[in-house]
Amino acid sequence: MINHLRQLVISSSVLFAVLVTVYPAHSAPLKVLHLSLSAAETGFDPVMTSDLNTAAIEEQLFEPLLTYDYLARPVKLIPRLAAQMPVISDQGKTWLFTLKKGVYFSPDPVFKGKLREVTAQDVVYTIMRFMDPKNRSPYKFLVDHKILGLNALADQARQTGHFNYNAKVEGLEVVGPYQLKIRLTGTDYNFGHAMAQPMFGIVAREVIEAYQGDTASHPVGTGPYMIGQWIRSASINLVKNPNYRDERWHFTSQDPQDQKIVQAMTGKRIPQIDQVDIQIVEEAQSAYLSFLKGELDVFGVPGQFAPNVLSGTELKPKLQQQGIQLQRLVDPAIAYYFINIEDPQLGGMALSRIALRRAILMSLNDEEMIRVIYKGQAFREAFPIPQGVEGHDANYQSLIHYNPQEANDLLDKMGYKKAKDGYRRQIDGGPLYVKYTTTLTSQDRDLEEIMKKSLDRIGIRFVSEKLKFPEIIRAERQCRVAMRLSAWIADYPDGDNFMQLWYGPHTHENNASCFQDAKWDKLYEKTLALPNSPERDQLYRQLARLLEINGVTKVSTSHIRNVLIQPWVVGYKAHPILPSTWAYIDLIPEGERH
Amino acid sequence: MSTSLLQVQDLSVYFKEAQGTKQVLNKVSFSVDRGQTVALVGESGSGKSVSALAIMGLLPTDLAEIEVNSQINWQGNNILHLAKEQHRKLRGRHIGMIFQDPMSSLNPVMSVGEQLIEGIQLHLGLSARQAYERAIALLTEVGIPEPERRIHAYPHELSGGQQQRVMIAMAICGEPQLLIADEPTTALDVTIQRQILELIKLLTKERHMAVLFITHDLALVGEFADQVVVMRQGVVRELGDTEHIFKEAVDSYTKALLLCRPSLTHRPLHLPVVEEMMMMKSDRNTASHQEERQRGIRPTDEMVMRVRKVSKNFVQQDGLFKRKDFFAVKEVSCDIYRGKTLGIVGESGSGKTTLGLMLSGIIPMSSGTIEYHEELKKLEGSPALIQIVFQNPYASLNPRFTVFQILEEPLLLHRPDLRVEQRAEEVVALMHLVGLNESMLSRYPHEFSGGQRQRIAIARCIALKPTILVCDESVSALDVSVQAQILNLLQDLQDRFNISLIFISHDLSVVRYMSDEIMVMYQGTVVEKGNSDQIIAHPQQPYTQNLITSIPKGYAI
Amino acid sequence: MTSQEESMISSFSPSLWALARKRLARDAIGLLSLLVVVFFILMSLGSYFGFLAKNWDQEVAINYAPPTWLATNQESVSALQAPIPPRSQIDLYGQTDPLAPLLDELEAHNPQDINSPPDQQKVNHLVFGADKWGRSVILKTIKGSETSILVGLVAALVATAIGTVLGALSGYFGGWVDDFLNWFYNVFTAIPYLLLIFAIAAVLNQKGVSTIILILGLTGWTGVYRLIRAEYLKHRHREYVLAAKAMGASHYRRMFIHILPNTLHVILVQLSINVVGFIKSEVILSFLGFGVPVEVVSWGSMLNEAQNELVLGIWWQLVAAGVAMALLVTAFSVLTDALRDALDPKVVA
Repeated sequence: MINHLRQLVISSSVLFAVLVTVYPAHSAPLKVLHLSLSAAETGFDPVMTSDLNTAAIEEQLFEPLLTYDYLARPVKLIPRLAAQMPVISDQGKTWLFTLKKGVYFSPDPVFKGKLREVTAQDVVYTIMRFMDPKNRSPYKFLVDHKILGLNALADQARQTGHFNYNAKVEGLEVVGPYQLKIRLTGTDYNFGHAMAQPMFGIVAREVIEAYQGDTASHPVGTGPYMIGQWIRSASINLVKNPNYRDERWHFTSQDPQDQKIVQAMTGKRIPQIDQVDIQIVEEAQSAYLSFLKGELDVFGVPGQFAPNVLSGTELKPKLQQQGIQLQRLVDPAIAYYFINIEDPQLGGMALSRIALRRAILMSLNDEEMIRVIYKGQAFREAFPIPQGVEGHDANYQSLIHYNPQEANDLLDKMGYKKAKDGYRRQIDGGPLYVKYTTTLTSQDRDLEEIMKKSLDRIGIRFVSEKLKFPEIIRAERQCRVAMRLSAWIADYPDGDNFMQLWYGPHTHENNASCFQDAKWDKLYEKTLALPNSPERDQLYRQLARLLEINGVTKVSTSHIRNVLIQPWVVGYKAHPILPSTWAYIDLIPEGERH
Repeated sequence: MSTSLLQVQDLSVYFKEAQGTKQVLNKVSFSVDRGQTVALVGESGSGKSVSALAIMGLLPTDLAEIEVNSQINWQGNNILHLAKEQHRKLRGRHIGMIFQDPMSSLNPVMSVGEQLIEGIQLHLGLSARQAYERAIALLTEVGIPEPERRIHAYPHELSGGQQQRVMIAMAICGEPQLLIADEPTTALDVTIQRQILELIKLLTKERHMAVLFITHDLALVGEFADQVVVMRQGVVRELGDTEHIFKEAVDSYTKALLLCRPSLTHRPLHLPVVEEMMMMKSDRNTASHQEERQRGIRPTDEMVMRVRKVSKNFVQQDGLFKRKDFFAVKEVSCDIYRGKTLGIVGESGSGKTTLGLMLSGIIPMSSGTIEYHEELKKLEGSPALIQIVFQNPYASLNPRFTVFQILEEPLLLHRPDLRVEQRAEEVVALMHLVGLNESMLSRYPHEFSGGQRQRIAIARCIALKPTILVCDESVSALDVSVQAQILNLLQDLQDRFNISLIFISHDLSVVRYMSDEIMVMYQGTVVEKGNSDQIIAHPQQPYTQNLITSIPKGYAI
Repeated sequence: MTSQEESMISSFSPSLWALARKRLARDAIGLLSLLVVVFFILMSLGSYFGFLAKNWDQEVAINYAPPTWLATNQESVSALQAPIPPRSQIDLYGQTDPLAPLLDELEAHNPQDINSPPDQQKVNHLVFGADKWGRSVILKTIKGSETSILVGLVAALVATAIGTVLGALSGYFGGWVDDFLNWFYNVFTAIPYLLLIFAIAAVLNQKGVSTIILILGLTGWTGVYRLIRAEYLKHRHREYVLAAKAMGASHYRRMFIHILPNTLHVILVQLSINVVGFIKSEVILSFLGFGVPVEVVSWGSMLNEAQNELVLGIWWQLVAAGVAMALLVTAFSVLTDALRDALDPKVVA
């Protein structure tokens, strides 16, 4: 309670300070960006963040060392708090980061009115926090077992119950006040992506320690914005960070469509928008209606509204006339069916079982699913690495197509005979069914119907298992899920983030199919030692083909993200990876719209 | 006539029904003078209560229609066309009213004082302090002991008699000139009834207040009414001085009413029945010439049931942990003889009903023994041995059963040997036995009058030809004329089947008429027991004496 | 016994039901609602035995085919499909497919296996429209009535039966029986409803229509119990019950032959409330994942689907299921009301 009161006093005083300091300078009207989030924020301590909505706000409050270029596609890492891109040496094992000078944290009573500059020690502290068992960070895996000496410190903390932040870690060497050398345990060219995640936004140790236990309510970062007014689970108001450095809009692009953005924005000081007003609107329909009324400036269209907004791939003429802009973007994600290789009914590497799995995968009609369930806002993607991610192959041809005739013939041939009830039995006459796992949502009921239809086509009994999402994850880790339509979205835009899903040693972690094949694993391990290159791409193709041949996986679809933008929003370009880009855009103030 | 306080002239009232209207009052005329007590006497359906409601202006306007040229004059002014508000002022301030059931007329969540004071303030406009003092005075006047304490009591904390006294206090708090008393003592015990009547008499005298006393019991009004109005089916049959009515009644119905009630002096073989008497148009003397029935146990009589020290006690919670035994019936002993009647008389709470239920085996005894005649031992525990007729003929028949089903039930249960058509014959025979027509068999109980229902209940009981029949207040809820019919029926059945009756009633005259032996009960114990004529003529115990003197004697006696 | 005698006797004793039938026949609205209910029951029986809507799951139309009376200028949704190369031309990137010889053999025997089956010709409008898979909505509604009526009716019967028997025992015997059952009732009602459903579902440990019926039946008796217990408390000391006791009627006979008809009005009203409630509960259970399995269609699952479709302006599934449900529920309520009146001998016919 006291903390809340204090929070209230602080936020109002900050707001007051902002008004006093900013208002006389800008006589122009206040620019306010109105947005909605579909779920409540979970609290703003980056290390504990797990959901996308919170990450979107943290992207504006905190700054990691690196980030992604606003315009470049495919996405490209660029420095953010780092002065330049890190110097990588020792076959990707040593990363030397140099920080920008004159980067200050947003004002907070902990600093007692003094400016507080970011140093290399803050980066060390930030990274160390991920390994502190107390924080239980969901994104610990980005640094776990990767930095020399850090895991030893974590183990020690688990024994003593206290994480020693003063300890010297071999892998985190402070070279100078603005320089940091990170030594990795093995070759990893993707470490830069980890350092670009909003969760790795740099925090100050004294702030974290001062608000021990309630750090989620006291975000103090170096980002362009800071929290203004905050009504938990209802609305969040971001105001400009007065200590933000003089950062200018400098992105470039070869894409002719981006030139308008470049012209409008280049050289403008970041951020241009004075306040970001975020409302939590859980009901998609009300958010959609708010957008139509002009109460929201940018709106991601949920799948079920797509037919209302689009005709084909174009915006409906009615919306076009209002000047509303549509941006379509392929999510760097795949939806894929997997079959558990350890499942007693479907698993195993015998030829008959491979044929059974292949037949099951052949019964699935992806086109129908795209049309009926995804309302055309998805497309067939056969390669495990989606568009916009390094290693993607647009020309990859799937081995497994929708072909129930052939599947039936194959099963007949293999001796999966139909019993009196019209369903097939195992070759030895034992029971045969596919236990298909879904969550309880209504969209998942559609998926169940699809699955049931598909299996009926080839005479295999369908059994449904409904679990809550965390339970599904737990079951997957125990190799108890027989078959599921799963999805994976890129944490970072590199093929490895996807291929690791079938890596044998990742069984009981991310490898839900529990596929453990020595040949496959060896090929995969080869890719790890390679930077992004045609050589690696070829290996990825072989890996993908092996998954199909063995009937482990059928990659099904990739989805399209539709973003609607009001005409008065300037410089907006949907970004596949960055959770929010509000600091890079501008608004025509309300009075000047027509 | 102009000096009359209240004058009712040619009052005709119609009730709207589903099919047309039904006349419930037909040109009723009577008047009440100042300080006079007028009794309005009639059986149910006679229109006596409708008359009272019409005077009070309480008839439901959507259901009842008063004929245009009817008049109700209050001190010479016709009040039929008064506005609601004016009527309301008239009520309470000038006309007070008391009802049959005091418990339902009093608000259970307000203390009697609050209710009384509210009335006083409303009618007399006194301050709270004055109203309180007035309330105490009133309670003292109506004979409530310790009024300062009782004024804070809630209705349920008072006895029935005290409740009715409070009601009277509330009725007279506005110092009305007329008190309408609608069956004010019907729900009360005989002794209490007398006290209340005495109170009303006293108040009339002291306050010079007129009373319109509505009752079904002609005998009740003889002692203190100045005028009697006898009504039947919405018509005034006879109207006159009390003396005239009781001694020189002209109307056959009035005469029948006076005779069909069993008296303490005569015991004709059959009670006169109103319908028969009205048909015969005979004068009253023919009835009294009827042969007297001889009652009493003779040494030759065969004992069928010997009851010894039967008790029933209930455990009562007394305080948190203590428990107290409460004896509803305590060590009652009696003998039942074949074909004879044992009358059990007592006021409410005397345990007579509990005793009846125990004897008929419906509730278990706490202690004591019941022995049967040798021949009956094999029947012990069987319903063919003993049956019971309950008080309320409306409640004792299953509303969801047709008469046929009701009468078939005992046969179904105990005569499995009967075939379907035999059962049907038996049922028809039973109907004839109790004087009902077999065409009524497919009807449901609610389609019958109270007397008919009681006949059905009796028919059900004798279906198994029981040796003993318990009649628990079986005629108390019936009109006097119907009561006579049912008593005659019971008598006939006893004569015919030689049934032993255990006749339970609060009405001493009825018990005397029916019984060979009488047992007087008071608070669970037997006060006095003996030959019925003996007990009535020479009661030994003060309680019995009190009971006998409390019986309304009519005018002549 | 000759038929003449028989008729004589039956004229003596028209049973409660016979009388009710006569009265109901005079109640036009009651009769109409009876017809509606009978119609629905026949419909669901017809579908159960396969006379009706047998082929409901055939995808006869394009998805979301609109009802006929609407304009049919539906744009063709068939997406442009990239041609699929034959298997022999797919690059295996140096890997071997162990199934290849088998598939080659199959394809040699059945050349039509080489290509995916072509899309069936489908109509682009239906009388009452089609659902998302192109199944006829009207057939689906008929098929759905089977589940919904079965669930609503049987579960309500189960719940009412449990509630009535327990309430009768509790109210009639009183004493420790009443104490125990009351305690049970209190414990039962103290558990949050959803938790109870989860618990029973966990015990039954299977999904399907019978599970739903059991869940609803086992959780829905409490209201009936409370009311029936009160009725029995009221009736057990009535003189007609004492008279039956004096007549030697057994406990069972007094409870169920004598008292039960007098509580019929309560039971019937409760039955009707429960039927209506349970048809609706099935929808809620679907949300919790205890609804009908995916191969079964019910009005609840149809309404559940419809709420997502409505946003797209596809209203026909909602209308079909909603109208069917509203009609049945209203008819049922009116019918029980009429039945209650008809069964009450006191109501003047």
